Amino acid sequence: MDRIVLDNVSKSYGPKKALDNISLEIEGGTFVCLLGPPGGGKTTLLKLIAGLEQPDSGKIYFGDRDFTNEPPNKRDVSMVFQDFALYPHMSVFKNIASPLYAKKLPALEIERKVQEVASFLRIDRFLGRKVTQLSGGEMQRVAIGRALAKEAKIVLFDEIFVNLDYKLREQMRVEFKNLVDRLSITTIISSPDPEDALSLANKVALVHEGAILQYDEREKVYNEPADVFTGAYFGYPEMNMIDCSVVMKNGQLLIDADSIQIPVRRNDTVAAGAYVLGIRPESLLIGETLSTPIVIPAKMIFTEVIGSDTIVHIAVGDHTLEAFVPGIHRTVSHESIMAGLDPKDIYLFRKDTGLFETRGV
Amino acid sequence: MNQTKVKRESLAFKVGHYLFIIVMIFIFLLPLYWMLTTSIKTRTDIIHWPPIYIPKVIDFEGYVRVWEHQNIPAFYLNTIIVNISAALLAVAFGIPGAYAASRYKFWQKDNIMFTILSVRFLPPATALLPIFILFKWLHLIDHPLVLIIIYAGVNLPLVVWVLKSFFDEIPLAMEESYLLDGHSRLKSFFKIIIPLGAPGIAAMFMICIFLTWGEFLFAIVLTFSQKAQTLPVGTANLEGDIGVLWNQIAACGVMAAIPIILIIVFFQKYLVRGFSFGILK
Repeated sequence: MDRIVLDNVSKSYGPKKALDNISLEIEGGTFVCLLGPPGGGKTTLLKLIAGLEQPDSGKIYFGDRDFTNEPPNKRDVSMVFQDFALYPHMSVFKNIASPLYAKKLPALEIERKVQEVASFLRIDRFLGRKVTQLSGGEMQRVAIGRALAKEAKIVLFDEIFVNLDYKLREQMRVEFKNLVDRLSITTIISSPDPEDALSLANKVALVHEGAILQYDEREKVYNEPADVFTGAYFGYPEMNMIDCSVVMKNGQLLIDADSIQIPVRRNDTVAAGAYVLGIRPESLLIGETLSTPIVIPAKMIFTEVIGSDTIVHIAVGDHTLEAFVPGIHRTVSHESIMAGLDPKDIYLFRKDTGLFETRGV
Repeated sequence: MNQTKVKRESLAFKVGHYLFIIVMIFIFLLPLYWMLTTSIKTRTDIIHWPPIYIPKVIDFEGYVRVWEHQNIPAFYLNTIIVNISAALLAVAFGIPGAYAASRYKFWQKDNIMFTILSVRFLPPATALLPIFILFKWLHLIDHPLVLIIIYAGVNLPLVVWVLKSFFDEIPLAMEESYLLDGHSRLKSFFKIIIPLGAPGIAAMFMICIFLTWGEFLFAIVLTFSQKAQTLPVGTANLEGDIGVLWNQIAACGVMAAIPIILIIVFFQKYLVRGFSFGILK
């Protein structure tokens, strides 16, 4: 399957730089998530791949062929839009059949393929309906059906879960994952939600302010985020970030963030200097008695229940940290508690550049 | 206590609101009522003093005479042909113009769009002489085409502007999606823009007809025979040598108003959107 190559691509809308000289190479058959906050350039990136926008400079290749100036109808790409973009004046059948009509297939063949896609997505009983009579989840399936009917090698999904309510989003995510696994296509999905990236994609590209901060395997981005922004963004709840310094004390390197002191066990991992200490909420444990190498006294401020998990906000000295605890827990203001962490789970970023230094000390 | 006060205020507001509506309806319907009654009054009742508000004797002589002796059917047919053709022409040229204005960026777009609209600001009389000379040179004076071209031209800016706002409401993603399905830009124009813009296009077509249906100035200057003259001019001809034939003039007026009233009654829903530049969802 063909790889997608973006070579030094830039795109501006008036004075605003949507994408600034980015390069990206996506291997055929990968499931990529473009992750980043809204307005960072994700949709522009998808539109450039689809051919709906032309880059101001740079080249776009599918395989070895230069597709930079090819119009969308000449590209082997289909796309599912954020608001689905179904054709309201056509039936579900005609919506799904649209790419097949474009291929000028015989009517029987179209009928067969639409049936096939529709039963695959379990929307075959809606085929005769108008799309305006469907619910959000059904509309999304029709939009996906239309994109699949084209049988393109590259399928793009632009923030497709954003318009769905919480419960439906969870459900669609699972279905979507199963669906993509069964097809051999190159899939690129854009999302502001790190959960999409974590649960769906093989590879994650962090897109922020027109730049790609990191493009790597999902696990690699999680374990070795390129910089402070990537570390904070990739993961939910966000990583706790604390300014700290690494100092030599009695012949022993020490991460010093006032109330949090972490000895560095291996002196070769980090040099003395100013850093940002990153602690993931899921590796910060709280309890009365803890067996982690480092245990610090803390105070509980409040708890925040998300689904069936709890984010516990705690105060450690002057720092406010978030800890992720499965299950639902009660709120007790200013209750004394212990916070524990393992030095192998912490992240260090350079204070001056924001770049990743090391994980685990 | 407070609640009753609020209630009384809103009642006063309601009464004022309806009173205002009734007065406005009265003001707008009075000329129509007067035209209708004049058309069925006898000639002596028309000039009777004090005026007869509710005619006691009903006389259809005006209708019979204009239909049989005054060539009104020919003028009527001209009016229909001229206005429908002009509206079709305006819409046919306006749709691509509005699409380009809605979807493309081009050099000096804002200025060009304003220049197009400014044609509507011009008092028609200022353009009358040059237009007369132009059409004389084209040998089109007193030809049905002359009014078709002028009416279409006068309405075109409005069509472009209103349809632009209709097309702006059609999500770009819908067209983009259609292109990605593998269709051409031209096909997306015909299969997405035209069907989804159809209510606006239909409204503009009817509005174009309304706006020029009673046009008088260009019609009387540029046409002078039954071949091309329209109802307003034909009606004015009735102000002849043997005095003003009020009942016949009023009968012409009533007949001219009927198609417009019917269109408004049946297509009110679409017309409101058209008149409000498509901004009502």
